[in-house]
Amino acid sequence: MISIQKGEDLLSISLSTILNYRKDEPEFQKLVIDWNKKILIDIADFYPVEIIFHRNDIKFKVNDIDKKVDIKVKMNIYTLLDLAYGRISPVKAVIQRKIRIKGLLKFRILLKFMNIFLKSMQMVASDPSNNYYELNKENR
Amino acid sequence: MTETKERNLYEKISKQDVFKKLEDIFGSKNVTDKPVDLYPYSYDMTECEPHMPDFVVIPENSAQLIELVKFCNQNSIPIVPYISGNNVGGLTIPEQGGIVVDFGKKMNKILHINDNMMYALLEPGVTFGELKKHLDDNYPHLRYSYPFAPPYAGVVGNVILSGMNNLSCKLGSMGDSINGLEVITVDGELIRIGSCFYGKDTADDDSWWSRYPMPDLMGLFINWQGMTGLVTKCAVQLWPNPPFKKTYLGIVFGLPDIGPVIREVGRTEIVDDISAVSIEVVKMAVELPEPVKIAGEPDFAGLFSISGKTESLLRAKEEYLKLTIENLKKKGIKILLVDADEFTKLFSLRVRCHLDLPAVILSLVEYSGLTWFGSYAPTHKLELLIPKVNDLFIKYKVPPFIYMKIMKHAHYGIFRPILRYNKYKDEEKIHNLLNEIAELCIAEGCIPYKTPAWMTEKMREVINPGWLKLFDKIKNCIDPNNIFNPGRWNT
Repeated sequence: MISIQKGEDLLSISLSTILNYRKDEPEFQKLVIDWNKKILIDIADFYPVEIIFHRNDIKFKVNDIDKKVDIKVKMNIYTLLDLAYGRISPVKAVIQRKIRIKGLLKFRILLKFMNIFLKSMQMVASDPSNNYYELNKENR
Repeated sequence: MTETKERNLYEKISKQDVFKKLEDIFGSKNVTDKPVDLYPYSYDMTECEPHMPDFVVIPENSAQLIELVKFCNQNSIPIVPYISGNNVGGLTIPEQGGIVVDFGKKMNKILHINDNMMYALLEPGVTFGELKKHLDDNYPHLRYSYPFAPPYAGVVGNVILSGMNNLSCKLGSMGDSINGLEVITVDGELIRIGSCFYGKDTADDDSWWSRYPMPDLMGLFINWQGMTGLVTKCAVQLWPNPPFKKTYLGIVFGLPDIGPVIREVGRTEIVDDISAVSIEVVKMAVELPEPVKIAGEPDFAGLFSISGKTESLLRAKEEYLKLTIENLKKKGIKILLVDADEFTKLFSLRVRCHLDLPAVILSLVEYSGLTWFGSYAPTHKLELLIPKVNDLFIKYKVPPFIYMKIMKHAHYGIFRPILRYNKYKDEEKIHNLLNEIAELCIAEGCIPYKTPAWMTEKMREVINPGWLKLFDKIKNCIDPNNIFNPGRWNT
């Protein structure tokens, strides 16, 4: 069972929505549990958010961000939406310098993060339902 | 608990005799004087002081109401119209007791849709949800427009009090979209206003197509908060429902900069609706009732809805909207324009309640108390009003909740600071905050609508005396015994 912190700022709320989408999926749980990594996402014009994967917890930090994180990813909101809705591939975005990554050589970590975050984001984006209560029947 | 003040309403006739007469008119099942039934009609979500009615009646037709009005006028008994009690201004609290007329239960029929001239003829109790469903099911090529209100809010109450809906950037106040009214005046006359005025006794359902060109008597009943007569029918305009629609989200950094953004986008004349809310409101929608803004977060979110009868028309509008935003950026305004559908999916579908109207907006109903300073505002004052009102929210340690709209392609705007609170706990604090906001905004020329009596009292201090004299003359002439919703506008 994965526990995902409820976001209290705009970006953490969004990250929480995206990651929650797959939290009951065994494949996703396998990727996340005990990963123990810190990823920094910096959306231009907004502010950086640190995603902390620790044991079976996923937490977000916007203040007192750790100086040492495993990977830093920077992009603007338009690139984020383009990636989510499949208008640009991650490789193309990197080549066109629309995404800047610090830690690019940590292939394994990067690929795993892509699998956790990018795939989840694309799944949320491609869900045909636009109705919160259809998707979250237990919250009705 | 609601307390009833001492008053002498029943000098001419006893309460027992009134009850008997009401039973004769409406039938015993449609009249009550039991406190348990009366209590829900005695209060609303606002800070306005509760007051019990003496009776509640449920009418079925105009004939019953004509008899009621004649009887009440003869005996000087107040009549208060009620639909669903959703207004945020204490408008249906029977301040001086009397009879509440609940239109919502039985006079709630959609009487006619004229597909050719695009209007709906409604009884007062029709709700937004009912009208939307009826149109979607039977006339999908037509649309009405909907406010930030739940589906169970009344259409007629909204239009005759000049509410604003999600086509207001194009159309302006909903009061401007009324084609005709049927009203019962104090002497029990049934009056038809608008092109439906032909016909001695009845009007053809297809004759409610225009408000003009005869002398416009409709102004005697619009925005009067039920003080001049009982509206029993209302024809509202409908519009073609274009197949291509899209909403853009403008994320604005810099508190006052939302002012020029919504004004300039409004002036493009391509947008159906513009609304903007403090960023805190976006968080309230996702179950953060007391949100705190963090450094780096934007200040406002604006929604810009566009539509087109063809895809290429929609694309052309999109192009012009984007160009307008780029020009604003060149002037130094920091704004991000994104597709609202795309953004809400990744953020939280809960915020779609702001897009899919009518809807229950969580942020408006999650506390026991709700009040606002809802006003028509001069748009050139927005840059001044926004930071000052924001500071007042912060001074009182209340999360800022500012809601704005641009009306009729930026001819005027709506400025509405909203306050949610725990009734009986934070009432004094919230009323003090609202009072400060009201004083500031009225001094800057804002004109509150759906106003509670304490606010009209404040307005009377600065209103032109000639206007007030004429207002009082008209009220005294139309309703000499002050039976129609007495107390409104300090009558």
